[in-house]
Amino acid sequence: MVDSGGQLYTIEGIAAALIMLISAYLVVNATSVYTPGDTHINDMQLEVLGSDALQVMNMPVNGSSEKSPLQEIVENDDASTFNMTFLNYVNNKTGSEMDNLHYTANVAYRNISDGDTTWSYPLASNRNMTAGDHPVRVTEWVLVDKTLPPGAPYPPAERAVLVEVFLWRD
Amino acid sequence: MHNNNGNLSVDFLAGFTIFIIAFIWVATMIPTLFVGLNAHSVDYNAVAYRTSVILAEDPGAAGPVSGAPCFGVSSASGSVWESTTTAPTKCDIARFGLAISRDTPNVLDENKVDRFFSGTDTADPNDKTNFTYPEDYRKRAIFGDYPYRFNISLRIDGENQTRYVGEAIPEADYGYIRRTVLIKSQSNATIDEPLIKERYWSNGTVMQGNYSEDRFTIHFNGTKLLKDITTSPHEINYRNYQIDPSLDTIVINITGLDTLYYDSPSSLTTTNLTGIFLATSPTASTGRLFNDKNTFTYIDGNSTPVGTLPANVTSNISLVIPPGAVISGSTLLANPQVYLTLIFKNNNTIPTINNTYGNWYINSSMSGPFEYDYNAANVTQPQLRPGVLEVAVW
Repeated sequence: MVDSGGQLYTIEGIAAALIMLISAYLVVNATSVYTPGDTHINDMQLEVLGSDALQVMNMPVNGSSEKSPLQEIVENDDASTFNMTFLNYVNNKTGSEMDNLHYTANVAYRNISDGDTTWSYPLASNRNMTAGDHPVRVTEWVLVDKTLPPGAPYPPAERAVLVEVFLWRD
Repeated sequence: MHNNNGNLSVDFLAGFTIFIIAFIWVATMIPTLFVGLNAHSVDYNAVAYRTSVILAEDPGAAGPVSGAPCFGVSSASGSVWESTTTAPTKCDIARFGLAISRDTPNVLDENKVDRFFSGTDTADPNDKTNFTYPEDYRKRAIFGDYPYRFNISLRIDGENQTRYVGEAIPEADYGYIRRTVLIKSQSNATIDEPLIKERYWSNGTVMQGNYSEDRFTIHFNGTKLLKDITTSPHEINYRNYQIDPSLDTIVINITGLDTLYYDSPSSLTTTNLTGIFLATSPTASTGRLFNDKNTFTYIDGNSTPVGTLPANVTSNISLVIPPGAVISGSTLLANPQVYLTLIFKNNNTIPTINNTYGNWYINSSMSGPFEYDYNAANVTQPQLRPGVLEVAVW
């Protein structure tokens, strides 16, 4: 005596296997659209480096100084000193080789005479930023005694400005 | 009668086998799904960053180290872990940290840097002072259950050598961070022959009269040194440059002592340093904070401290006062004016010469104590030197 109902066992086994394989295939495909896991780490490393450099530049050079190098740079619009000092800090390594980072720096401030809006002007850069570059942004608040906007017919006044640096690697 | 109950049919066996094969294949494929996430690389970078923050932004902590067999129970505390006075053994160091304080990130303490990079590669279970790579550093700076390997290096502007701890960095697959830092040097003072002859020479002209003993006093004005620089005008504007005897090493060199004697008829070549005391006034004979603290006193260029007093001095004395050793924060706050006094008696055994010409030496009784303060003419002030700190972890 033959019972044909037993044929279902094989079909169920094949169906379950197919479901598992299709599920696995979908999951594998799904992982392929993930962004590489460490992209943000390069950004974080650059941010730490740029923040450290600005912070160190904003420390006075001795105990009786009135101003930090960064304050003097902003007050005097001294692009060459900023360029030399900033690049020295961010490119220095403990080994013999230097890093090769690029930056562009601006100074942002509130223009009270123009409806309290935020204006900015370029401070220094060692390369123009292009659309293909992937920069990080680092900032440092600096107290300066300066006429703003530059060239305006007002006497210098003490105020806070934001030094904003875009930093990237080739 | 034949009964089929309990038999395993061939088609069930086939279906079950296909299912199991497919299940095993999928199960073995699951771990490979996470390869693209680079979990190790992410973790290495995170640990490198955390370590750099601990080193560059934290002053560290003295105290019992967790998870390590040690030489007894530690009672150390505070942030001065680099001093063998406050943390006698490496078991008294709970956490490394190179910053001078939590309020001043990226400004590193020279003493902490020197102690941190003084490690050895040889593990000696009986060595209570020197650090061994990797165990001692892992427990105090790297942390975590995974046995990370690492390389921590520091290059200071003006130094030829890069300081480092750890092994060679692999070609790939390691976490990395670089920090820009400033290294604060310690203050020091040199009291040399011209200065002594101008202000502190007990030779009968600059200073009238004879003294049975010569006393030279150094004054630490706690009110000035530790004045809150954030709230009031002060001789110093920034905490980074503050001289704090409870946190900093104080170095005082007294030189040219052999040039102070009366040339003739005296034939003195040495003088006895008979005592050192710290008190709240330059002449205090009672209420002294300590007596004969000679463990930080080096005589005539000797590399080991003078053991007992009195001791013969020919030409120079160096006082290397470790942080908190003689002037702790609480002492300075409780007694804002503290005076460190050295007492000398000459070795001349001829009374008449002693009375007439003796004691041509260093003496601050008339001119007042030497002020250890923010006057750059007296004391070499702390400096900040740029440097770069790198941490690699794998």
